[in-house]
Amino acid sequence: MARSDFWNSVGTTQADVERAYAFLLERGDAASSRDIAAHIIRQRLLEEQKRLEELAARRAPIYQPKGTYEVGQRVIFTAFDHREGVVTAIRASENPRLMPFQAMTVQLDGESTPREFAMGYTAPHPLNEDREAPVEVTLSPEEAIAQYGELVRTNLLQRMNADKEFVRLDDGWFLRGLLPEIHEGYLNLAEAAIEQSNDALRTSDLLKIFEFPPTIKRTAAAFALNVALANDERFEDVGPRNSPRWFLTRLIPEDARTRPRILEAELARAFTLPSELELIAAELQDEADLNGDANQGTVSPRDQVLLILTYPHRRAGTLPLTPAVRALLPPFDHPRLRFYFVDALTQEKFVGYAVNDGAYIAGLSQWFNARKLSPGAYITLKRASDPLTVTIEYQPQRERGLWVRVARGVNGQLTFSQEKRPIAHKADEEMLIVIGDPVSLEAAAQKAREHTSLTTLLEEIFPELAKLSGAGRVHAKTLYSAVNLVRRAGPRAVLHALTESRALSSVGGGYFVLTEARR
Amino acid sequence: MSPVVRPDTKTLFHIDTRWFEENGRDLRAELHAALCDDCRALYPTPADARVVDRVNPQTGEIQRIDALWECLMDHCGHQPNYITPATPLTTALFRALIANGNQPMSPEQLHQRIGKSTPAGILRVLMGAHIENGIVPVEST
Repeated sequence: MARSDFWNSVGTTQADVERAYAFLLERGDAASSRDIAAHIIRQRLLEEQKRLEELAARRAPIYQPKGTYEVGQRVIFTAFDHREGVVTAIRASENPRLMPFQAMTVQLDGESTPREFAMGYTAPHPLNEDREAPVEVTLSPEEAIAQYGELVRTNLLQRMNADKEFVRLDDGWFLRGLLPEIHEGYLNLAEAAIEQSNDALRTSDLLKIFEFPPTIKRTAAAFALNVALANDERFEDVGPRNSPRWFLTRLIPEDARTRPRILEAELARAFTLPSELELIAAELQDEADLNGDANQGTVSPRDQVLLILTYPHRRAGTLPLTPAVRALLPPFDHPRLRFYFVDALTQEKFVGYAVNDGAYIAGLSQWFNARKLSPGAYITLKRASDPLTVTIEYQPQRERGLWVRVARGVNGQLTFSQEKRPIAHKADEEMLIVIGDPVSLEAAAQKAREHTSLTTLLEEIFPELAKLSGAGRVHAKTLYSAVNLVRRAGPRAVLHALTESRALSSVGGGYFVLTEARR
Repeated sequence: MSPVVRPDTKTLFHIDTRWFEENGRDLRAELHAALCDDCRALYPTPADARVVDRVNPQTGEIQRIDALWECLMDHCGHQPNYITPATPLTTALFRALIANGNQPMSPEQLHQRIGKSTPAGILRVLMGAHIENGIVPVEST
C-alpha cells in the first residue's frame, strides 16, 4: 500500500473505531480527539511494522504480473489481503489484442476454487510498478503524529460523530456506557449552589457538593456532569476553553444574552482606504468592522488596550470585543465568557461578559453612568494577574466647564452646537460629543435609518459640524463619532463613505472640507 | 408491496441485455459497431470475436470474457474519439456503460464520463417514455 493510501485510511476503518473504544475503555476517562488519534497512529505503526516484518520473513515472492513463476511455487498476492497460493498449472494466454503472456492457475489458501493470474505480462499494470518502500514505518510515532495527526483526527471525528457509543463534549470524548449517572437531583443541587454563590462555578466545585461513590473516577464524573449540564437549558458554560464554569442562564443579564439593538450595524465590506485614513481606522477599534467575528485577524498580545468610547456603546453599556481586547482574555468557544472588571482607581469589582455573537463586552452601564462618561472618553483595559479579570480605567480630571460639541435632534435632524459643559474625564477631542437630549436624538436616528447611503448622511451632518469650526474643517474621527449618534457604522465604512463623497474633500491630516461647488 | 422509489441523479442504471433480445436487436452487433478501427481489424465480424483472457487492471487475475467486451473495456473505451461532442446523447450513454463493463452508473457518473448534458437532463432521458438502448435502473434486490 502506498504511503498516502495508508495514512488516508487511518482513522476511517471500523477497526480504528474499535481501537478508539478500547483506548477510552482502558483509560476509564475522557480524552481529546487529538489524544485518541495519537494513540491510533502509534498502534497502527506498530501493527504495520509487525505486518511488514512478517511479510519479510515469508520466503514466497510477492506476485507481480510481469514475473514468472513455476508450478508448485508459493506466491503472495497483495491484492488478496497478502494471502499465499500455490501455482498448480500454466498455460499460454488467449487474446490476439495483447502481447502473448501466460496464465497460471493458483490455489489460494483458504479457497476451494482455483483462480488464474497473468504471468509474464509486461504491459503497464499497477502491480508491475516497483513497490514503494514502506516508509511509513521509518517514521517515529512522534514524527507520524506531527505529520499525519490532523488527517487521522479528521478521519476519526467523522467516524466517532456517527457512532452512538461515543459521547462528545467540546473536544472531550468518552464512552456512553462508562458515563456515571447524573440524576436530576444532582442538577437541582447544582442549580441551587450556583444561585447561592451568584457566581460561575467550576465543575470541580460542583463535584465537591455531590456525594459520588469513591469508586467513580473524579475525571469521569466531571465529564459526565459537564455533559449533563450542557444538555440542560438551565445551565450555560461561561468559562474559557477547556475549563468549564457553569452559570445559570436566567441569571445572565439580557444585554449579554441578546446583542443590544443599538449595536447592530450593516454588514461591513472590505474597503481599501488611503494610507492616512487607514491609520485612523486602525486607531478607532470598533467591532462594527468585524461583522461580528472577534476572531477575525490575529494581533500580537498586548497588556493594555486604549479604547475611545462611542455613543452606541455608551448607550448600550458595552465595549467592543476587538481582536486586541479579546487577546486580554483567555480564549473561549462558547457564546459568552464571564469575567470580572476591576476598576483601577476604586478597586471595585463587577461582572463583565465577553459575547461572541456581535463581538462586544456587556456589563458597563453602571460604570459609565457613575463616571458620567461622554462619547469620546478614553478607556483603558489592562491585563490583570488573574486571567479572568480585566482592569478598567478612565482618565478622570477635575470637573470643569469646557466648550464642547453638544448633539441634539431638531425636527428629526441631527444638529450640533458649541456649549460650555462640565466634563470630568479626558477624551479624544475630535470624538468628544456631549448628548444634549437623548430623546430627540432617537427621533433623528429613526430618520437617519431611512437614508440608504452613508455618504448622503455624512453630507447632511457635515455642515452642522463645519459651522462649529472657524475654517469649516471637520476631522474624520468627528464625523465617525457623529454618524454613530444616529446610525451604527464602523470606522472603515464611514471613512470609505467620506472618500466616495463628491461634496467633501480631504485637506490632509484627517480633515475634510466641503468642495467649492457645495459651499 | 415494496415502496416506490423515485429515481434521482444518484440512481444506478445499467444495460438490460434481455431487452435487446426482447426487442429484436443484436447486442453483439451493436458492441461490434462501437469498436475502434484497430479492434475491428482484429475482429472483422461479431462472429470472429470469441472468449479471450482479460487481465484485471487491479489484481492481475484473469477472467474469460467476450472479446468484444474486452476490447471496449480495456482499449476502445479509452480512445479519445470513443465519445465525442458529436456523439448523440443516447449513444454516448450506451457507450459509457459498455466501456464500464456494464457496471451500473448514476446519471451523475454518466455525466462526468460523457461530458454532455446535465445529470438531471440525463435522468430525464433515461426515465423517458421509451427505454433507450436497454438502459434501465438497477432493480434493488
